[in-house]
Amino acid sequence: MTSLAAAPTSAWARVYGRLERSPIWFVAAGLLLAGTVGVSDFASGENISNLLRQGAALGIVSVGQTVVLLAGGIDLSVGSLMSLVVVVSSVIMNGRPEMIGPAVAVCLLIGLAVGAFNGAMIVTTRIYPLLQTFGMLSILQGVVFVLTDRTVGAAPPEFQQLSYGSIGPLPTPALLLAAVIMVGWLLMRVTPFGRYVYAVGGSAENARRAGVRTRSVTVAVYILSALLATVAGLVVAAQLGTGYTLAGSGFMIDSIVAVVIGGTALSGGRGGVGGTIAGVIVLVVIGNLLNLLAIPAFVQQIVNGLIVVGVVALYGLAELRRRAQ
Amino acid sequence: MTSVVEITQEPLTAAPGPPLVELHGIRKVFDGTVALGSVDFACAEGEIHAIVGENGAGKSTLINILTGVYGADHGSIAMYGRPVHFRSPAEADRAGIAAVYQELSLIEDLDVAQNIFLHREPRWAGVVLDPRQLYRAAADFLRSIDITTIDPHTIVRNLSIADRQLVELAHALLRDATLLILDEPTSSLTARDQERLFGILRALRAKGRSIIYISHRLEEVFELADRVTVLRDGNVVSTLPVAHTNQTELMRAMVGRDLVGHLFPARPAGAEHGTPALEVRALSSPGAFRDVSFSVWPGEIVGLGGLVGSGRTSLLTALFGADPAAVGEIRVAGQPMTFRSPRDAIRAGMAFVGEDRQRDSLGVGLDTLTNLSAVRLPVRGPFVDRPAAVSRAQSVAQRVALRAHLSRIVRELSGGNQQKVAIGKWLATRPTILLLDEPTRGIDVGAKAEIYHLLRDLTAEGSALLIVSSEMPELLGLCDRILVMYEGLLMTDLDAATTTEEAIARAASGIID
Repeated sequence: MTSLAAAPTSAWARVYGRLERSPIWFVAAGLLLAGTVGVSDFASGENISNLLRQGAALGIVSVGQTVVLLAGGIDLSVGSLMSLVVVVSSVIMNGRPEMIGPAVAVCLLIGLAVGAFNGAMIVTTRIYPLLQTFGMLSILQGVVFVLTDRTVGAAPPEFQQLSYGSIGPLPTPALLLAAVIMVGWLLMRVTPFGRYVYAVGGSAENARRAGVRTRSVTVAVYILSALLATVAGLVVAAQLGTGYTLAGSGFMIDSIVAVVIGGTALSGGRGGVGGTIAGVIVLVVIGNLLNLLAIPAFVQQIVNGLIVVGVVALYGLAELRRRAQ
Repeated sequence: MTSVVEITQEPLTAAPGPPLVELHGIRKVFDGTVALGSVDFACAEGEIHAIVGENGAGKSTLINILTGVYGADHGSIAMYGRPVHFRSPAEADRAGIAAVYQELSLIEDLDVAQNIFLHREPRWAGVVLDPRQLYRAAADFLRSIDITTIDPHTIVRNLSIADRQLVELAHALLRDATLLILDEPTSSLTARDQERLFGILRALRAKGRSIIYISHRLEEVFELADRVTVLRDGNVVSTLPVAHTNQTELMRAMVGRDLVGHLFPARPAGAEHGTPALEVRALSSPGAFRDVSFSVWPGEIVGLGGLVGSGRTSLLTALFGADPAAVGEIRVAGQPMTFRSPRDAIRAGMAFVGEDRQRDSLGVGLDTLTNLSAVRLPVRGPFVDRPAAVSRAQSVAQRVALRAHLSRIVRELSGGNQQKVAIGKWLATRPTILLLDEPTRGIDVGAKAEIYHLLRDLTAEGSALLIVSSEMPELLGLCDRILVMYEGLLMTDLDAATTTEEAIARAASGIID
């Protein structure tokens, strides 16, 4: 940044420069402002708690998706992994608080295995991440339907605290999300691992030539993504209170959208966790506002699509301008 | 320039030390093309060992095997007499080998300091990056190797090619490796930076480090190296102490005795002047080149020399209508032109063969016929006219002396045949102006001679050729005139028949005589 940005001449130029680099924060701020001013119930304590609860699972899975995309990959299997986690954890607990520990442990092991398998297949067979994780998506959703064809199991009230509880004034899921964001951000910004993720996403071959163990980095990002999807799945299980077979559907697309409108390049190597947070805020707040305004779901789809196309176009134009300079 | 005589007068360590690294019977085949036949090579402790050879001789493949980028198909490597087997550059790195690769290997979106210290980041307690220490150490290290013009905070994407090469060197030097491998490290350095690099390398040798130095510039070999190994077509021709040989002998060993005579076609006397086929006035493209003016007449081959990154490729791209930011005047056969896209340029009679033929010019997964039909596909109504495509491809194949059946997949062809396809596909459009970027990169000497003769034949039909080349012999032997660029400026316009390598090299370093 030191060399790229010329000395800003005016406050406007500074604002414009910032807007060009990360427009998503302005979109997020604009939506929050519009909601607060224009929609009566938006800024109520209850609605804000709701927003945090709904946003937690998406935020957690999106942090993992960010790391995968930064490394030049993609993880399509997160949504169906979440469905599997919801069903398996609900079945194991089946309303018994003493089974919370075993349920969480089993789910984390499943997540570890899924991520390790994705990563290992990608580095050993050079299969495209898109295809590998698409295959995994299908396998996991299939496993869910083999296990059950209807909603099964139940989360005990103690476990539901994970979604509905509060610590002090703050909802538990929001604190969990904050912790995940903090760890993800630190991991990417201040550890060598984070640096290598950027290097592998920038150019895997060049990173390899610099002595980076690129295969380990790749396997690690898929494990991280799967573990965070598992945590997000547990949050959803606590929220639903029962093992709904399609609980995770939607999270795959939403997590990728949040990351991409947050400014992380699909080609890898550029972006970060910070932008993803803004992306998650935008997605969650839009859904919430349209609900409050009682706008039908299919219109929400149109609005979501327009936001994605619009924000991504802004990034494209900024890139063109940067090149032309 | 140091002459051979001066060098041989210097005292020279006659017998090299014990071998640090030895390669035995190394063989590598890519897609049916033999890159290395069976190579034996050794580099001694405290030695600067040069490897020379034409493009495509196997130099880069050899060092890529030594550093674990590729595995060899056969053969063995030993360090300090013990067998070693590197499966990745990380393993070679642990054994004390560092390399600067020919294709720059930096991460463009990281900054200078992050690149120099990639994989060697200063840390707190081993797990947390220490950015303050990183930038301080990077600044100190750059200063210690006398590079003061590069800010460690600059994102590599925003650096010039020459500065990237310096950063790449810094990355390798930081390692303080027992064996440092440099593959064409001076391709975009000015004469001054090159001298600085040589000073550093001599100091490393004095410390007992070993250096393998790959180049196709022979004068560098005589200035720097103790011994030189000549590769030709994937085999070692000879290994000699530099003191016991000279440029002529090396050149002959590189090219092959029998080919020296008729590598280049004869130059016809005085190309006719009149209306230029291509006239460029005050053409500029921000950040790439500025205020470039020149003309190329029909029947002429004009060379475009200069360092890598000096703006030659950008200029060619702009002439072909592929650079929307370019401003200035382009006239084709006297008519002013505005090219909004390559499509406009093709319609005006231009053809373009890019420097990376696999990326820029060919569909490598498709067969030869399809590639040769890619420009102006013969059609009958809404359908491809296959018989017409076949007969046209056959006549082109004959014209370019293609030695491969039309049904062969292009990826499986030799570099020489691929280049013939890349040029041949344009012949159907009867281009009046051909733009060629490094047309003989990575192809064997025989195919090179054939391509030179093909290009000269095209001028006999009145085509005008503009050729970017980094090879001095090619500029001097093939071209009629040579334009030299330096940092985006056109420095000089030289008559190839009377100029010298020195004059070109000086202009390429920004020195006008």
